[in-house]
Amino acid sequence: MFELRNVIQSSIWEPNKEDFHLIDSLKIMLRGMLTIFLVTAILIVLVVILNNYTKKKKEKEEKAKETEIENESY
Amino acid sequence: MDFFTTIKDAAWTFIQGNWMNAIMWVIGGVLIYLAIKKEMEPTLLLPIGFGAILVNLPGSTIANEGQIIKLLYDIGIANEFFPLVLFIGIGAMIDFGPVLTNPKLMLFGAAAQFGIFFTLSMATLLNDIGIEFSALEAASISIIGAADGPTSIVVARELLGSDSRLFGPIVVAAYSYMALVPIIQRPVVKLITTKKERLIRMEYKQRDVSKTTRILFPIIITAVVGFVAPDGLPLIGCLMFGNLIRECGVLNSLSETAQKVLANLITIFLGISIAATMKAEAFLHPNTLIVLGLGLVAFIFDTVGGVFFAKFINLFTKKKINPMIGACGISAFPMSARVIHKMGQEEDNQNFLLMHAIGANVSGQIASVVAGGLILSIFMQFPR
Repeated sequence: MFELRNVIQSSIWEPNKEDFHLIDSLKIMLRGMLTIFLVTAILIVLVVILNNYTKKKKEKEEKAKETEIENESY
Repeated sequence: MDFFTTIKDAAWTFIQGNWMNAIMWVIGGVLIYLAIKKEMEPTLLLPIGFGAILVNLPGSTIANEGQIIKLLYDIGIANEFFPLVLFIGIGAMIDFGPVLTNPKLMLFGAAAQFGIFFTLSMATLLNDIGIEFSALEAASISIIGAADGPTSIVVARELLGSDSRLFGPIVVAAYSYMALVPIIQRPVVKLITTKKERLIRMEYKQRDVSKTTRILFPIIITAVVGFVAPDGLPLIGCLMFGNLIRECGVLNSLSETAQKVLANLITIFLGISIAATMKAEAFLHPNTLIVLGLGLVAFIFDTVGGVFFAKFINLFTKKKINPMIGACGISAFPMSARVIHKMGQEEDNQNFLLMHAIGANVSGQIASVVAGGLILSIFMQFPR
């Protein structure tokens, strides 16, 4: 079962290195574009997480500052 | 009479012996003209153009073993030193702010790499119909579509070696087409978008990006790309190292040096040493014309890929994207962003696309390096 999956996967993804033809370049196109989009998606998610984290951190800091000022005024 | 006949004969003999060199002088002249008169990528086209004339003067030995141009070529291009160091300077110049405020723009950078893979298929198709290109040659030609000179140099050198006949044409095509982005993209974008699409306005919200995000971004990108395409690490590593110097906030003088002195110095040497690949006997070959043609195909289909991807996204979103933004996903920074912003203003002078265009354009810089790394990772396993 595992071997069959490997054969199918390699026939979809792996270009023929010895005898390279149009079909092989199309395989590389599919693999390349999918990988670039995958990397991009990962980067987008990481940037969004980072932005949210720093935004929350900033809000917390501002809140803490406000409380400090309020306490001082009392 | 005898005197004139002698002069005429001498001139004819000279032309017969040097017609190939003369073609290279014309090519050099055109590059210098584009650089000075049209201000197209002058920092590179001018040294390349002058170098092309220099190495093709009759009796010129300046690009021979031990001479200055060959020396610069060996220490800077044959071992990828110049393009990689230049990437540190480029990284220090880039402000990733527009992408960090709107990370979705990165998708256009990814889509606009389509031209690379389309050109790979076209080069392979040419091979199938009898114009011989090996898989490695096809891959090296396709990387012109990265629209990024240093990436093209590194990938072509790794796959073909710097002695290959195709190396010079690939590098010259990569830089020339980058300079010609305004001429190439404008008609292509007009052809594949409607006036209604070009009139779409896009709102830009100015948001602050924290220093932490700016510092972590280059480190995260390097780690992710290094994991996916380790062969592209020198490219992405140098680019992001330059950016980290810029964003860390404690190395301002280094950042300034990388942006100005280092980048300028390397650019001077890079341009003139590329000329070592432009000797007439190596450069003037039918395959050069095919490489130039395929390079043009790569730039056109990069643009097409980006624009159609934006149209595709518009099918699912309420807030429509101006599809012209997709064209900025190519790495030619900042020419592409400027062209698209200008095109938007020509249609509607109240349409300000610049920040979105710059965001997509900067994303293209990252995506082109990822694509270069991927091409390297895939094709380094091929037999040489």
